[in-house]
Amino acid sequence: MNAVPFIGISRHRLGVDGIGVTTLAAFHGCPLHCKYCLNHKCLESPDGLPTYTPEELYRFVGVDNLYFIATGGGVCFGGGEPLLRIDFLREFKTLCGKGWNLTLETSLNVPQSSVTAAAEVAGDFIVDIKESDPGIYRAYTGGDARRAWDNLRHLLTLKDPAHVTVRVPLIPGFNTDDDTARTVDRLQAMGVTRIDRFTYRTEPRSGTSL
Amino acid sequence: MNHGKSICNELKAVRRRIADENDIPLQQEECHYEGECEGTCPHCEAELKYIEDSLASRISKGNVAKVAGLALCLAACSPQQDFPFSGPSKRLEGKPAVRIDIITVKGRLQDGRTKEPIPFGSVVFRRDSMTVESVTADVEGHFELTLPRGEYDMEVALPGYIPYLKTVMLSPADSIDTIELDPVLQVPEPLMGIVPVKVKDPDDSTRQMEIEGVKVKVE
Repeated sequence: MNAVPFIGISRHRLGVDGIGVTTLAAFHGCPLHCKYCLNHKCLESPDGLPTYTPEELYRFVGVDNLYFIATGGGVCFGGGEPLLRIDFLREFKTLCGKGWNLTLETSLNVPQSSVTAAAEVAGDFIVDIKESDPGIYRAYTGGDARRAWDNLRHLLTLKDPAHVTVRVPLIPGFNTDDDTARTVDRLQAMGVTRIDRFTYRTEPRSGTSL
Repeated sequence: MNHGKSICNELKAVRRRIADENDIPLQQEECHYEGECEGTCPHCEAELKYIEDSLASRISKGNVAKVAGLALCLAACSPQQDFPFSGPSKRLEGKPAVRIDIITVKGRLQDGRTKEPIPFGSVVFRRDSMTVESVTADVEGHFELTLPRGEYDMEVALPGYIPYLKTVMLSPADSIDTIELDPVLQVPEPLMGIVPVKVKDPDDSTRQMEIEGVKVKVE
């Protein structure tokens, strides 16, 4: 298949994108426009960005094969939004087989069919759910919260909750501690067992946060 | 200790563990580099490559490589990005030895012109100019061998054929089917006989000449 643009690839990530040693491969392109996006290059023109086919990426990240196998790690796809690249992910999974664990960092704000397909490819999901309040969600991301939450519900029917981590951010200027507490309650009611609460960084920064 | 140095130490420990579990001699030296590092360097990469090649050699000899589940607890490093993955750190217990992905390679050597099988050809798989494995095809040109997943330089060199050289990626999704070898082109024998050649002497007369055993009629 054709090569697709990446905003960056980061090796030797330890315990950040799942267990073990991982390499983060960040796709270009995202359906949301979050104000404090750390990787804003995913929303800019892809001109000048490196491009890889699944095989090229497999060869590139394969240098860390032993670390992946020894530590239970593998490749984490983020971005941008990796669920916009389902065909790429399928082909990559075919290449790497069972030896590498694939993790997807996603907003889940994609067609449900992409979530279904992704669940067959990835071992773990890190979901950036943003907010449960639709108004706050739209104000911060420009997108529709309902699609993301419906997809999370759907994902939990496909994956064991032990393999789905949901990030709940405190977004300065957009939500409060009470809002995040309500989001956590809602997630727990849905059966989410792995929840990561943190505060978004809001200081301006340049480049890509890989 | 800077972040890169922490990563380097963790990866170094993983390499140490893999080498020890697989009886791979590995002399690790303490790194005295004081500046910022990304967690790896040419020395560390070379050490990893050495271990990888050593494991491939062990597997090609029919030994088992112990790699899966040798992870150390990786909770020591601070997060690299703003969104720390706060899942519980896990220590993976040593698991029974398992093989690294082993790919069965099957193929057939065939004459590119006649499409006939080429018997008893030798197929060699190399990495960095070092032979990892080789196999001889049978009378029907068929060959089969097993290799760890990864990239290799494949070569088939037979008298009378142009050497076949190709870099291949062996993975569960890849297969090597028919390898066609092109015969070396036969140079036609020179024609012997009368070859008209114009040769002018200073007095403008022409004459017949013999050149290297070929009779040349000069006009």
